[in-house]
Amino acid sequence: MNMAKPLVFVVEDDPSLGTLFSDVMQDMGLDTQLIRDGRLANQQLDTAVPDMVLLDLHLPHVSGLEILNRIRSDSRLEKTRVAMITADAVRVKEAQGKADLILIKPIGYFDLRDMVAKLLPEHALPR
Amino acid sequence: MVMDDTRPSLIRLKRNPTIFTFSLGYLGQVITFGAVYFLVARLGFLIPFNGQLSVLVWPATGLAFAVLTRSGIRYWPGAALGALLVALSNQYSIPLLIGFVAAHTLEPLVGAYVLRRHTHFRSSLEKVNDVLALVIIGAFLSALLGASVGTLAIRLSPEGVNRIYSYVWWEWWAGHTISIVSIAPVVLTWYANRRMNWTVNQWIEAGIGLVGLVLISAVVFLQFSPSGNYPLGHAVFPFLLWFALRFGPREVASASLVTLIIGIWGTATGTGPFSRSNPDLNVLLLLSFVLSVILTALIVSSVLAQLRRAREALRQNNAQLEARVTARTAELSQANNLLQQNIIERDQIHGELVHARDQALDALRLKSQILANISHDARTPLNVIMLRTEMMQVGRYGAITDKQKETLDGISLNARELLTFINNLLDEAQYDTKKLRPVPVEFKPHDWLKQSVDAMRPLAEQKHLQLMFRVAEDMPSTLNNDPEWLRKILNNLLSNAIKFTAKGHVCINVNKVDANHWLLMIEDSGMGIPDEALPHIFEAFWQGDGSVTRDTNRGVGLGLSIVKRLTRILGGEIVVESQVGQGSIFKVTLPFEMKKEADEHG
Repeated sequence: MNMAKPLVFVVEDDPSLGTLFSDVMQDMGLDTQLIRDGRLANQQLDTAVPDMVLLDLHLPHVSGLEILNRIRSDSRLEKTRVAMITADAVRVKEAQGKADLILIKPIGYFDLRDMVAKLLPEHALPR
Repeated sequence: MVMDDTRPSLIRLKRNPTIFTFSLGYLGQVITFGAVYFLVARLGFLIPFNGQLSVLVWPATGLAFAVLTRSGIRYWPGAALGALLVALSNQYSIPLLIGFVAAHTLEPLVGAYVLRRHTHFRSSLEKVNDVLALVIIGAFLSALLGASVGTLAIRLSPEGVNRIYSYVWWEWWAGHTISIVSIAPVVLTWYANRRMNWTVNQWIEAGIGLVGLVLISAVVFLQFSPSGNYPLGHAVFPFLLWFALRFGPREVASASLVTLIIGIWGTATGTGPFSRSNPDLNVLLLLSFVLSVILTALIVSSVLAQLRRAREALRQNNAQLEARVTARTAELSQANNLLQQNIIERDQIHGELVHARDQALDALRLKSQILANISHDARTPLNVIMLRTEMMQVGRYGAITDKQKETLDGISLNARELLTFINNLLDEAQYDTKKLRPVPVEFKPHDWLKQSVDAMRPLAEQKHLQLMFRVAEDMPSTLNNDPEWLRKILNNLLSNAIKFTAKGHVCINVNKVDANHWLLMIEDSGMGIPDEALPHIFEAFWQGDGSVTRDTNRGVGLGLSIVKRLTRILGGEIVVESQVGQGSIFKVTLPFEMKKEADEHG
């Protein structure tokens, strides 16, 4: 197990849900950065290299889908895992094949645990 | 003299002609006729003649011929009476009197009888056939018969001594022919048409024509003595033809009579072209003149009358045709206007319908959009509620008491119900916008059922319900259908069953029905559904009224309607059996293989 905590970007415009996702991630021993806006997320990604991005589909300014495409086209971020989260069960299909995981709201505590176990296996907490 | 037996100018075939009638009116008519006959006959005696007979022209026989032809042969006693009066006035011997009366009676009687019986004779003389029939029968039947009988009577009477009978016969025949063909047409045509509806111009023209005819006739027949007579008889023809061209047979016959009277008078008094020393030659000349005048004038006038009639008929036909064309055109135009109006109205209605359809589609789209938005917007706060609840349940916010755990379980249960409702709303929205399409894949029914039931198990456990499922052994190991849709169906039915069952069990059975179908059966020991609610439970947004409490009824509205709709699209059927207080059984029959085109939306 690496001593350095993995970095997770939580990109979610709803403050309550974003904070809650951050709490759960931190609870699992991950470093989190909460970003509420697509443009800010893009700026952060210019410098930082997160291990995982929890990415909402609907975001102000820049959509989650655009950020996903940017990550996938950036060789610097090739190891970054992306979990797409959305309340739109219809439009989420556009992310199929690009995102590592697609989660439809509501996302439960155990869904998040399973997600971390799947995308960051070496950092997964024992259940 | 009125002897009209109401017969039209056409004299029809008469099988049994009436020869006698006994009525006061008839007797009066016969006596009047006899008197007129006598007077007209006496006129003949005014014309001097010094042949074998004492009189040549016998106008009364022309009158009698016309009357009997026009009014019926039953008036023959009038002719007989008139002849008798003449004979008496002349103080004939008895044999001559009898023969004389017989001859003058038979003459018009036989002629009229034949004319009435054997021809479609019109007394208007507007047809060439009628003119010819009148002349031929008058000259060669009536006059010939009269001459023969009369000559015989003279031969047998004292008065016949020292006479040349051949001349008697010839003079009688010629004189009576002249009388019949000149007088009868005038009487007949005036009978046929007694109206004088001439215009002023016609009166003037007729007057000028008549004056001209009288003058020329006078010049031809009365001017020159026997020594200086010239064959000028033809000079009258232009005037007669003028009458024929400009007037009808009636006027032509009358004008001819005027000419003939003057001609006969002149010849008898020794002037004109036919006045020679030999009276019998004169008779022959006069006869030929009379016949040519009458035949020429009447034939020309009848031909022209026929032409006029044809032209008039043509004009009337044309007018009728034109009127019909006009009427028909008006009808067509009206029909066309109506049609145009209908088209305009239909176009308007069509436009309104299109507008209404567009509005309805807009409303439907708006509804779908609203439902989708609600579903979408509700998910984020619901996620917060569920996630916080779960974190408290797993002890992330510290240890919890039993009472707190029970509360959290309740929150969790209701949050899941809310999620089901939101999912249903989304399905409803997608159904309306036709986005909902099943995706058939192969799956194992047992695994599918176990996963679905296990997901619901926490809900059942919270209410301490027994949750059981069983898959019949004869079920195929794999099915080809949309497992997500089937899960929606099962989850809705299962969540209802758990929700409405306070204690007892919920059982799920999967059985094979026949070679192509299987049955998904969800049975509970819950409160049941009232009979009056059963017909409505599959209707969208329907909720039971006061018979069930508000608390237990929530959520029914959309779930079952979606279940039914999904079942239909998958090619299945759903039925429900229920008894209040005992529980409900929902039976979903589905095909093993989904149809290629799952297009039975509704």
